[in-house]
Amino acid sequence: MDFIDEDFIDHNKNNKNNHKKMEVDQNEELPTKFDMEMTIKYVANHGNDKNDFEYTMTEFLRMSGIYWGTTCLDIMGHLDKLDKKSIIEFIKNCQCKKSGGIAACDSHDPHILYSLSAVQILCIYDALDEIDIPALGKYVQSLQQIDGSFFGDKWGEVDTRFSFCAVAILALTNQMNLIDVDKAVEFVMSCVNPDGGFGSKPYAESHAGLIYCCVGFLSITHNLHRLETEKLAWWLCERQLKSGGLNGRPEKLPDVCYSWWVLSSLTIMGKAHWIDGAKLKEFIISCLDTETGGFSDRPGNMPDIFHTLFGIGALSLLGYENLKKINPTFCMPEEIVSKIYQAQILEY
Amino acid sequence: MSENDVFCEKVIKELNKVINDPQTTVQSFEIISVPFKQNKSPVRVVDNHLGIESWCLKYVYQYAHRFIINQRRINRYPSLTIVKYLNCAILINPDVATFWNIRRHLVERVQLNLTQEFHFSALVLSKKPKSSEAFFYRRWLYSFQSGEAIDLAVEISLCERCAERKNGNYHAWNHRQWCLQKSPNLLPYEIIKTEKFIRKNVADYSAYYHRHFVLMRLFDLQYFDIHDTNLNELYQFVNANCSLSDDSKINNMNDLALHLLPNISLQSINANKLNSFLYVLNLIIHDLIMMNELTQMHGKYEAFNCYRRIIIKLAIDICRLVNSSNYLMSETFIKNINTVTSQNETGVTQSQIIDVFVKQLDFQDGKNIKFAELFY
Amino acid sequence: MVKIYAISIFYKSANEAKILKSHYDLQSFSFFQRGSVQEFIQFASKTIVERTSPCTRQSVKQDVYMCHVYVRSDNLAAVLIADHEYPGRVAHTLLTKIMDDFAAKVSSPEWPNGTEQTINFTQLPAYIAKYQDPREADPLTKMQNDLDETKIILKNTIEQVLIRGEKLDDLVSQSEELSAQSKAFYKTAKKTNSCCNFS
Repeated sequence: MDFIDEDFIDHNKNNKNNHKKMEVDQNEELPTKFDMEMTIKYVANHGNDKNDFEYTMTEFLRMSGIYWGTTCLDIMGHLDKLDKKSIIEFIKNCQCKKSGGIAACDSHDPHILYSLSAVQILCIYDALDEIDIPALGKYVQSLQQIDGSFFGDKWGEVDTRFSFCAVAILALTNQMNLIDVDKAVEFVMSCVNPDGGFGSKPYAESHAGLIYCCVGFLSITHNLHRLETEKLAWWLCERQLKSGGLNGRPEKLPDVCYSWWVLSSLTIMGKAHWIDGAKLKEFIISCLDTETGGFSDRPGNMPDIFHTLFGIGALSLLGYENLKKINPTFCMPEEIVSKIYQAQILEY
Repeated sequence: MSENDVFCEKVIKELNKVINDPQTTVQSFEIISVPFKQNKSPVRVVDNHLGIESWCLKYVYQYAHRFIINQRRINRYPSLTIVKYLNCAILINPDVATFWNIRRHLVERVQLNLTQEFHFSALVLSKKPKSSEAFFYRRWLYSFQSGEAIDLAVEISLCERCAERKNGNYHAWNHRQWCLQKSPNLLPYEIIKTEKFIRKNVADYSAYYHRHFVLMRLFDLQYFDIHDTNLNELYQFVNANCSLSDDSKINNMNDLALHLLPNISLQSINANKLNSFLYVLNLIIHDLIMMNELTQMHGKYEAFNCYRRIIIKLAIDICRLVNSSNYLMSETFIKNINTVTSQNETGVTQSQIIDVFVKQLDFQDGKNIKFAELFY
Repeated sequence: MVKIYAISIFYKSANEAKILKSHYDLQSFSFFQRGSVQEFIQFASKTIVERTSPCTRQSVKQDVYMCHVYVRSDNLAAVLIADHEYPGRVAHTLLTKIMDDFAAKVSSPEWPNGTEQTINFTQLPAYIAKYQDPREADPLTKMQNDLDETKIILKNTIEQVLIRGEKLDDLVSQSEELSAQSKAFYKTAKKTNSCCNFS
């Protein structure tokens, strides 16, 4: 799935106050309400300044950036704020003619992470036929290894994120028959740890973002019975801290994006009620930057589009008013996913 | 060329001169926070340390980035002249996979040499110790190294430096696991190294988790230290927790084995496996004591409880394994027994030590929590 | 990390704190940051000593640092700057020990006019090295039973130590000890995880 958290990419976690004059009151009041109009504006205007330094620095993940933006706006009911035509044109230019894979941006190399982002955007716009779907399927197929795992691209890094991307792409494009699903499941299951969680490879430390990928993977492939749900849900619940926010591993700080990774995993397993939803909601809203309307990782930090989507996504899972329902497995609007693919979700 | 381009070319040239200078091997690269434009070169070098002032980044990075992308539009596999721009762009923004991939092409065509590439990626890690791209690149580079040229002990030291500079450094610890999978002979050294690291970084749970991995692997590999047969902590633990009367206190290995393995006939067992079992169990007890010690010194940390839980689970798992199967039996004995009778597992008495561990597992912070139910 | 960054000894006169001796271990900071970090530690130590009354112990949190300070009744003061994970109790035990040793070596008449150059006390580097492992202080803790942990005043920021009306930012900008580079550094990178920022 795109990028998991600060372990996988920097979100420029400047303390917002650094950029202001220093006389900002230390006990500045944190927001308790969420003004959707502002957030819509924040997302819609994101990336308008194409000469911006920040824009160049993040070019390598542009496709995911667009996915975060479109999903976020659609959940808030304002997909119309973005120009569908130019986005589809952009995606078409990113598909590699040779491999069939999709890059984050024109002139970059294709990768399974951005291939999924592209497919997700196209699903939202109901425009899958704009790209060469069979070629993309072949690309995903070519990345599967004998042990069932997936490379992220031709250079050979293995990660459970890529297993998730592979089955998500194939499910959304109705080509699951191209890979050996049983072997793919065996590989993901070889990454379970004694604490019930999953890491990026066999033996790697449990990590909430990667747990989402593995639980999501099992949800897509209808293999949730392979999980020890009680043990895993317990570990996920222990991610909730006093502030109500969730972290991704023991001893780490809370971060809005884990609201999504943890809560969606629990939702898929039918155990979202195991955490304190009201307190989590409070934490997420306290991470709203009232000046711009974006969300940051923690209160008072610089907002970005990544945390804005995962904040809004988690609020949707929590049943926040006026937000469309989000699908916990694909992190896309439920109304879109339900037309394409039925992933497995466990009952309460 | 515009004034801006001239300036950027100059900075990039200067950076590369330092990076490629055979006289000074640069050890570290960093961005120095200087927000406003200065009238001198933004590149600074002091004692093998390289820095670049932050005010020039937006010009220099955008220039290098544009140059590389334009080159790529002309030719998918650009020539060696691109390297100086890549050096600059990757040092400033190590997350761009495509830039690393261009280097890979050049390595494959033997235009870049491995030693230099190892050095460059280490330099990137000095700037961003958790750069997953840099670690991945190093693993990829190793596939070109011949067996004898690989010294993964050096690689582990690099992981350790990166882990020290960034707490909970997921990629550094993963990379370290990769090294140990490649060179299991380095596992025993990890025992001392990780204890030292944990005592210095008490809140870094990744280090604890790594130590658990090491214990697990040592058991898998049937390792024990022939020079360190001291099992005192295990003796004390058994004597204190297994409610033995004063005259039945255990003080020799035979009695210890008998107590821990009530169902196993000691005549036909594989001595290596038994020694390894006792060695790893002793280490687990040692770590439980260490967690108590650390709690006394530092107060409560989540890491202490989490680690306690997974090592007690490991203790239970290995005790069950050695008690309930023919795991400990010597190879020749297993062959014989399999032809004569099938394994008979009924009528085994539960080893008392397992109950002790189960109780320990349920007990946390003075409270009884049903972890054992969750775990089994 | 469990880490001591600096120890400094001061004499607290009526209107200022005069530094008598200091030593730093800043290896864990990136090379070009060390200069500014050292200046800040010096600045923070002095600022806190000047705002701590005699016979008082304080532990002040500031970003990634904990500043432990003890001012004795005879106006000798010491500051130990450590990481959050370094046990506060041990830090205060060390402060007592360091000042005892210092007072035994350097007589009190030398304090008011002493400077780092004139004072002959060379043990600080050895202290910092030895007590990086807080277990080394166990014997000391046993000897100093009188250290009452409940009397250590805990403060969440340096701001809380300041006298009413004072602002940390003003003190920083007015400070003569801080270089222009350090002041800029303070403004842009208040958070030390600035290493993961672009600029």
